[in-house]
Amino acid sequence: MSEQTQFVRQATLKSEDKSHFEKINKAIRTYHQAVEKGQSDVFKDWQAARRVAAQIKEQALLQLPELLIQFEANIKKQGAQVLWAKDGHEALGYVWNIFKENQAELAIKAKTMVAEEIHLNQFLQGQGIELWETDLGELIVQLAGERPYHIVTPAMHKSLKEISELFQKKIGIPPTESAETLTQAARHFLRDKFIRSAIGITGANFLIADAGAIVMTENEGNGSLCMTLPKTHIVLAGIEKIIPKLTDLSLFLPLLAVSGTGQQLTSYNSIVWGPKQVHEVDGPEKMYVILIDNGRSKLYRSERFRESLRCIRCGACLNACPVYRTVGGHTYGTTYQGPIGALITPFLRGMREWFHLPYASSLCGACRDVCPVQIDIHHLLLEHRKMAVEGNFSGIIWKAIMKLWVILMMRRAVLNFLRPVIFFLTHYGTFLLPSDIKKHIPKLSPMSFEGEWRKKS
Amino acid sequence: MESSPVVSLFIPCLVDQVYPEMGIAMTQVLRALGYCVEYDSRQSCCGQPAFNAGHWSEAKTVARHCLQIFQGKEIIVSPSGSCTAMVRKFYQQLFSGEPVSIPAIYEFSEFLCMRGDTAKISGNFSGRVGFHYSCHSYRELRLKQEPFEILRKISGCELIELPGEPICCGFGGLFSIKFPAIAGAMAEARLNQFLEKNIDTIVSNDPGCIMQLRQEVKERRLTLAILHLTEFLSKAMKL
Amino acid sequence: MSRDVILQSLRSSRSENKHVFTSIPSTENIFNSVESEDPALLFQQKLTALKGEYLFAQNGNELSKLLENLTEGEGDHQFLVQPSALLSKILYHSLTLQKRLVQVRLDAMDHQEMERYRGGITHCELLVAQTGSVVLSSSRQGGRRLSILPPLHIVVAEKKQIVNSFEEVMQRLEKKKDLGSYVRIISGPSRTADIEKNLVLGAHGPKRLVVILSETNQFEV
Repeated sequence: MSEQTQFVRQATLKSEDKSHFEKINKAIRTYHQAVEKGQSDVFKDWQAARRVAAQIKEQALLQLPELLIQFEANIKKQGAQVLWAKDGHEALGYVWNIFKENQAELAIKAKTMVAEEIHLNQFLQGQGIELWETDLGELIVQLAGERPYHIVTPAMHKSLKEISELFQKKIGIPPTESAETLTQAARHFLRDKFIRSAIGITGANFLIADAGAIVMTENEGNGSLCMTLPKTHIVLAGIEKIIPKLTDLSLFLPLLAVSGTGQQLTSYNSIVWGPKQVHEVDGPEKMYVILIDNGRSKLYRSERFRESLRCIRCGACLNACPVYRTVGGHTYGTTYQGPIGALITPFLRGMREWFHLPYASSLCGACRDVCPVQIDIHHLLLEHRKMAVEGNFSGIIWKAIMKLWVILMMRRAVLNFLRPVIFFLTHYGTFLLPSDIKKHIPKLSPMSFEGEWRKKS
Repeated sequence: MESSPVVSLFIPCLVDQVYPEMGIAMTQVLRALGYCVEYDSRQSCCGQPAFNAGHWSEAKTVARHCLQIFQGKEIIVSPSGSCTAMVRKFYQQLFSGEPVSIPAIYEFSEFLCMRGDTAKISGNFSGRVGFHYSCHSYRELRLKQEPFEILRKISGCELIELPGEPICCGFGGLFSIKFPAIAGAMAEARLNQFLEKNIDTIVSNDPGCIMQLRQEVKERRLTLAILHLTEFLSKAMKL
Repeated sequence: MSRDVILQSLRSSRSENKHVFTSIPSTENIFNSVESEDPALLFQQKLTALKGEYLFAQNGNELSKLLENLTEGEGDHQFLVQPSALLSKILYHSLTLQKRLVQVRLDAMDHQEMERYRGGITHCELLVAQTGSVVLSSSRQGGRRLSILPPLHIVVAEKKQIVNSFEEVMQRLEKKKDLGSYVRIISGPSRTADIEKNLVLGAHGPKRLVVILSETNQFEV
């Protein structure tokens, strides 16, 4: 089954699922209330903050090769190793080598979208490694055998009852209606895995070029533990995560926190310059930063689409998108969901299989309005559609319809002549179409406006 | 005596072929406000359906035809935020690189507020009235207060503003045909926002949105009137 | 080598004349200003809004008493203290605290052992009034573990360590030497809202964060 067919099938099911809609929209309403408060708490001028953030990111992208080299040099000076992976396969190869060298069997990981992207979990588990997600939402979807539902809140689609049942089954706790009890159960369950793990894997929200540091932002503390307890720390990061200066964090950390969850700052922001230094009492002895391309340079090559690499993975566009709110995260069938997912997936995974995502949008523009780095998302989705047509992905039928449409629109005389036929078809001829499409075909009025105007003159 | 200013009508394809009454209502309102209204029958479409679908060369053909027709017309008014946005904003993207001369086109409510015509509006309409912004008029043309400025001039109706940002009705041009299940769910969700406030009349400035919402109303057998702003005014002003 | 392939691909994608922006506007006037007559009060308000706890100690005796209150009821040797001259002094003068607190070299302690402790007591690099945050470095505040592993984290800090804005923090961090390999900026206790958006404290990090602020420079006991 093609990705497009799968998408339409899933989308239709979810669109009709009222309980799913209720769940998602409750979560999103809570999010919007928090963001509104967060924005006014932190920013005097939110629009100016977006503008400056967009410009800093844009400048960073223009200097991307130089900043990557600067980052590498600086973090290596502090004892970390930097590995470059042109694709997911190569990144997994590096990870596996590190596991082998350290004879590691148990590992913990914090939430990172890029690990999802390269299918890290399946790979390591396939090699016999016991790998545990430590972010509560990620742990929930891991235990449920599902993919993350949302960039920021992976288990948004699960009710408390469902999570309780899941934990009863997989962790062995008595039934409970308390979120606190469930959270404590997860803490307890993971504690010994934190302590015994040989390797901790995290992502990085930002890579700082001038400091040679990685930055990770979180609320639970699991990320901090992943980069504190195990002897080896592996960081997976897309090459676009670079920002030029440490001081840029004074804008980007609040920006990400506000857009991601409505907080002024998340509970824990970690800045890591390298593995533990000689005089330090604890911390990983080895640190690896794996810089991953995996299609990002393809995006970079397109001057028009390059700005999608500004993305700081805050999830705001998902929460603003009426399509996402209707179909949910799993329907997209790919790592990056919602508007940003529709934008980058055709580049990262191929236009032919994924061009339907840019079409699955009403182009309302809410995403562009909320994006903290001003990515012109919905206008770029239009460009995708143009590319899909030029690449002949969009189908012959539509091409034919458009050609006919041009003929009708260019000549009023032809349009008027054929009008009775079209009138007949729209009123009596749509029985051939499936019912859900049929109802969206407008029925022509008995007379056109042009006809009415002529009549009255 | 001063001659009345001349307004050229920009009639969207949807109004031309499906909802001519919206165009007629707009003509009536403009004339009542003292404008001379002209209509060039060569016009047919701004090109948006093809543009949205990614068929840009077809869109350009029709768009060039459109620009040619409206060249030299000083004031152009459209009952559609979408068409207005297409010409004013999206033509730049469509013709990127090519020099094109964009005419002065305005969306209906935008036009009235700009010209101070709201002062001349008065009328009566009973009911609990809400307003649905088309995404194009809200996010491309940035119209926010204009429709409410006009609606407030009509007495007898209770005007209810929905809190928060407007949410898309799911029309999205061909989106509703390509992804009907999603579009239907979006329309239902949008209508529910109005129903929760016991609104019985929804006014909108976009024929596409109106078509989408009316379809949903019909499906669910609701007693909810969806009117174009021009229709609403024509009724209220008893034209 | 992939490094070269990636860099070459990026370089060749750029057009020559687009390298440099004229200038990036400053972040002035973007943030709400933090002119506070009493930064300590602002810090207190922000910390408590984040569900952290704020205490004030006028002098060494008071600090001692506060620590005794906080460590009550857990038994002997349940609280781990970072190496610090001040805290050593406090310990020296309090038999109660000597029973409850442990101050040893942390590099020799394994994770299993540290996990036993009911709480960790550290100093900090900076406090941030605007955000109610505590900034710690791994080299000076007892390593990476102490402020994240135990379920209670007590920070002993001085008023002069408060900076007004988050922006200032980054500027200070840029200039500071010997911060070590790791800085943790803590804004409240550990939390999650992953279960139906219900806020729960104490996910994997500390459930309680207590900041004891003191006035004086050198405690007289």
